[in-house]
Amino acid sequence: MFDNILLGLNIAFSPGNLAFCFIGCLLGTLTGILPGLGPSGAIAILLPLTFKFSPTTAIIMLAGIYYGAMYGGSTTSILVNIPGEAASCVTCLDGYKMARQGRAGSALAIAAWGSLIGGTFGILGLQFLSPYLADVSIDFTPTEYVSLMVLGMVILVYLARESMIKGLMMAVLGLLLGAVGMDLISGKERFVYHSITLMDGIGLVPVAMGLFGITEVLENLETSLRRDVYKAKIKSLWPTKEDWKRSAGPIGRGSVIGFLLGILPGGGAILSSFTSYAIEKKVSKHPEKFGTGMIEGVAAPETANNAAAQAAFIPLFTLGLPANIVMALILGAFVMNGMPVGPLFISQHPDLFWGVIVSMYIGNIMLVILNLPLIPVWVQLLKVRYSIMFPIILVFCFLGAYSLNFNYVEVVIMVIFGVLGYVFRKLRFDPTPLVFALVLGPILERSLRQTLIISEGSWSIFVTRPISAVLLVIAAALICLNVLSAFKKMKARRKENKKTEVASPVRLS
Amino acid sequence: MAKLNLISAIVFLLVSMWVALESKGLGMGTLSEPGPGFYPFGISVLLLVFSLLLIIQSLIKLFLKNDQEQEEQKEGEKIVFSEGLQDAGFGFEKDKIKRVGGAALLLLVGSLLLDTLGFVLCMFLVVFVLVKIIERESLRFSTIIALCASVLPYVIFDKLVGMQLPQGILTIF
Repeated sequence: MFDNILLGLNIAFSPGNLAFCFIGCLLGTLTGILPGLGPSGAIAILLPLTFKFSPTTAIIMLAGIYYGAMYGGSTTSILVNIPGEAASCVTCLDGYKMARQGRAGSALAIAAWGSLIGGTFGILGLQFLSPYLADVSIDFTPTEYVSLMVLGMVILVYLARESMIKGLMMAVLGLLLGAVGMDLISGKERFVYHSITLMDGIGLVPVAMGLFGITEVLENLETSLRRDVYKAKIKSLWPTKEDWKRSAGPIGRGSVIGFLLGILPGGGAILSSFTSYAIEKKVSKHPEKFGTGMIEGVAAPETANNAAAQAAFIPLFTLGLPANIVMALILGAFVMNGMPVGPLFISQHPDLFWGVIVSMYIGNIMLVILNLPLIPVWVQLLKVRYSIMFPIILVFCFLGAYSLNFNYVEVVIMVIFGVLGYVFRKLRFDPTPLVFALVLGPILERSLRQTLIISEGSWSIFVTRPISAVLLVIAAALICLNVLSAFKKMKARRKENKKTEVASPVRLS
Repeated sequence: MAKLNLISAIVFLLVSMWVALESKGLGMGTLSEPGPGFYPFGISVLLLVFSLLLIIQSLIKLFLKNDQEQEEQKEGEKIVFSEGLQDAGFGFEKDKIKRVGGAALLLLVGSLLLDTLGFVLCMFLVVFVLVKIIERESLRFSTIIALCASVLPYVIFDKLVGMQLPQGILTIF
């Protein structure tokens, strides 16, 4: 372990990697602060640029954007009451109220320190757990991979806010899109229709840029966000003794909750921040005061979302499976750099793994320094009009998609997915499972076909192998749970309807 | 909502049927030696099943005439974040559709004409129209932003980084 950390220090402290770690953190903070572009959008836009870097540098920067956004998101939530990033939504509730009461400094400081503690806890878990999990998963055959991917998609869909059927439809659509292009085993073209661009398949970059970059622009063009920037001077940016005392428990619990939920596929930062807030409200002696400016309501979610952001790297580094959409994009970066990620990844590329780990420690410290003293600068940035921001996003989207193959068709694909993404959002079809499945699709197909060849066409292999069977049983149980709860809700609604029919004199007449 | 769900489910159903037919034509192979059409066919069957389920669900909801607001709100979503945060909302509104539809069409035309018009002209026109007409900014502001969004990236990425962006009809200069 000590040798590995030394190796990581060596890599992370090289001037290039240090600079890109800083750039990643800075861009992450910006994405977190500026509403209208989340970390997935920023990473999708910057993916093509990273092809020119070494994989280590690319991952260090992309990871920096992700956890940087978690830090930055709290600033806008507290000062403007608009979450710059979805995981910071819940911070608005108490953070903004604290700012209104003249305690913006305390809220910002506890958010930053909580983030640092939660983030560090997450990295420690990632550092110590990953090598062991990788050892366990080394025995995984294509059969277990198929079951694991199925479970991953089911969990992702299960935890999604929208309907499970819609989520599954999006995941299946993503798998179909992943099948476009040349079949790797037979060499036959599938759904290509004589298009040279489609021969290589539908790329992750134009799809992700479209669904997260262009869709965001279209959605923001329809509404205008009201920004009421906090104008009073921010006093002390250091939490008081009392603040620390009240926040210690929430930070501790937030770290653990964030870490555990971060590992889960589909969990990630958003779920963990909401869950930790809900738990704090439950354990508090004054739950009624939540939403009125309780520091616990800032400390817990901000700690949890950072712990989750780091923990999400565990399934990626040990199994090659992304836990959330940002991880799916980072997996895409690995695949496009020609680096397979899986159980052997840590032993085959210790430089990358330990370099990224150490860079995360450095990045977390950089972020506290970036976020606290520079708050006045970030506040000024919030005043930037959307008419200036969206052309920048558009330019990067057009440049990024075009630079993939220097082909305008990639840009057309991106715009088509941007428009589709807008329609999906309006119809409440969450596009996240689609991108997730698009990344996993080719791996799933290869593993499925390998399994069927091994088993000579017998599907029973999925239930006769114990790990695979357990994974599939969990997936089936989750689907059943969802169906059952839907039935229960339907029954309850019917009862309610009947009651109102009886109670309503108009209907009776 | 149930109506929109029904329409989208029918579209997905048609897509799944089309993919299934195309996949069959690709060659299904056998279970022990799956062909190139095997996987997309299986996936299209799944899509077909889910689309049918959504159709049934939507029809039941239409039949029961449930209140759409009630049905959509899950517990986690009940938190009202702030007066400043606006929900993107469900469905389409006429005014918004005009703005977004126009912007989407412009982006689509812009991307199709990227090679013909060239990066600079294409980005200038797209950004200018969006800022001036959709965002209703002044002529001066829109021109400055459009120039910055077209000429600056061209100078940086084409001339300095050497990315070779399309020049289109501007090659004549």
